[in-house]
Amino acid sequence: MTVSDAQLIGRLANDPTGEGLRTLYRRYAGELYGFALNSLNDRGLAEEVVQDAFTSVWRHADRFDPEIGSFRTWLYGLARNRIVDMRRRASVRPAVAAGEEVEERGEVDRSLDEAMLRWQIASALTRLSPDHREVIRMAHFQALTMREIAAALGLPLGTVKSRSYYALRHLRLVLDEMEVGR
Amino acid sequence: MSGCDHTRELLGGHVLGGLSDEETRLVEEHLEGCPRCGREYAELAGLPELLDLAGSADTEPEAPPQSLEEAVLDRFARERRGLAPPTRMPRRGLRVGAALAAAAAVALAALAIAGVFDSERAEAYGHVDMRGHGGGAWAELRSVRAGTEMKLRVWGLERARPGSYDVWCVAESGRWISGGSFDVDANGRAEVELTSAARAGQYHRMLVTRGRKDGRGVVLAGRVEY
Ligand SMILES: [Zn+2]
Repeated sequence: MTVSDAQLIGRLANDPTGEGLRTLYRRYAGELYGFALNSLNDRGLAEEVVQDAFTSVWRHADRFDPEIGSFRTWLYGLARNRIVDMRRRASVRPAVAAGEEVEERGEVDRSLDEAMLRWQIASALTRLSPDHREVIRMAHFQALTMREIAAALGLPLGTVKSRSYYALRHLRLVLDEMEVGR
Repeated sequence: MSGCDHTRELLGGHVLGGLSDEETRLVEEHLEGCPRCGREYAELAGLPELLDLAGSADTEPEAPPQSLEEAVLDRFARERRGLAPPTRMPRRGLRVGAALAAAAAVALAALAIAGVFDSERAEAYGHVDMRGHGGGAWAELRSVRAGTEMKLRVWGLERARPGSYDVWCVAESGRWISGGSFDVDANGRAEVELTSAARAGQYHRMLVTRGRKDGRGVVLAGRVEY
């Protein structure tokens, strides 16, 4: 039986071996690192973000409230703060006026949300089967029709149509798991 | 084939814009009059826009380095070690007032943070002699609650930026378990006490890296003698 995130966090305070933390790390570090790398474009900084986010997890485990949101949301929030921090520090461009600075912050927020979304979609796609990914690649990214795909792959048209349907359903399911809204 | 079944079959192609004009017309007509299929369509209709964000179907996400997992767990183990309650309580005997007890608790906590309770017992369970690049290191290894405490003596290493040198315990599986980092003085020497989450018997090699935390950064290596 899988132990829930909330249960693992609840146990962190009495976890001398760190096994609970390791489980949480293995569940989320990959996507979190990808998100950080995508946002900062620097492996060293991305590692720092992941390490700091997990450090906050155990230091502030009591602040996590599953009623308010999932562990993933909380973790991403922690990482996000750190990324905003790093970006601010890295930016050497002085703000000309206070108004501009406010605008820039909104911009940073938006671009971060987008970076996160972009990252989540890309990583959701890698979780599809090669067949499903292929039909999405051809139909969406290469803008081929069902008929053209069937011809290119040497498959019956009906197979390509139903494969497209199941590929999208599966993608939707994976995104739901990642809490990407509709 | 009922209208619904037929529509379901075309729905994927419809969302992805790959149907013929005739098929598209059929699907749209059906969706207008069928709430059930309409809901199904609504669930999928936003996907192409999201896909555009990804830019490609094959962006292989880069995985974090293995050493990061150990670094995270290592920091956890260290903090745990610092915050863990002492293993032994003071002997019963004198009745002490509340204030005194509190003071004693504070003192105990300070001792615990200093690691006294972890290191006061265990005999060394092994040692390691690491060599390479004209330098060397010798470490004595003993078990503590958090894993292994190593007394490390280093010589002959080049002076480098702070935090450049890392110690690693290499598990049988090839996994690197962090032992923390150290700096050398102007003479290329260091004498430090580090803690690793690695436990006796779990690893048989130890390494020191400089800068890079991978095979190409190794400057010293040696086999653990148990
Ligand atoms: Zn219908």
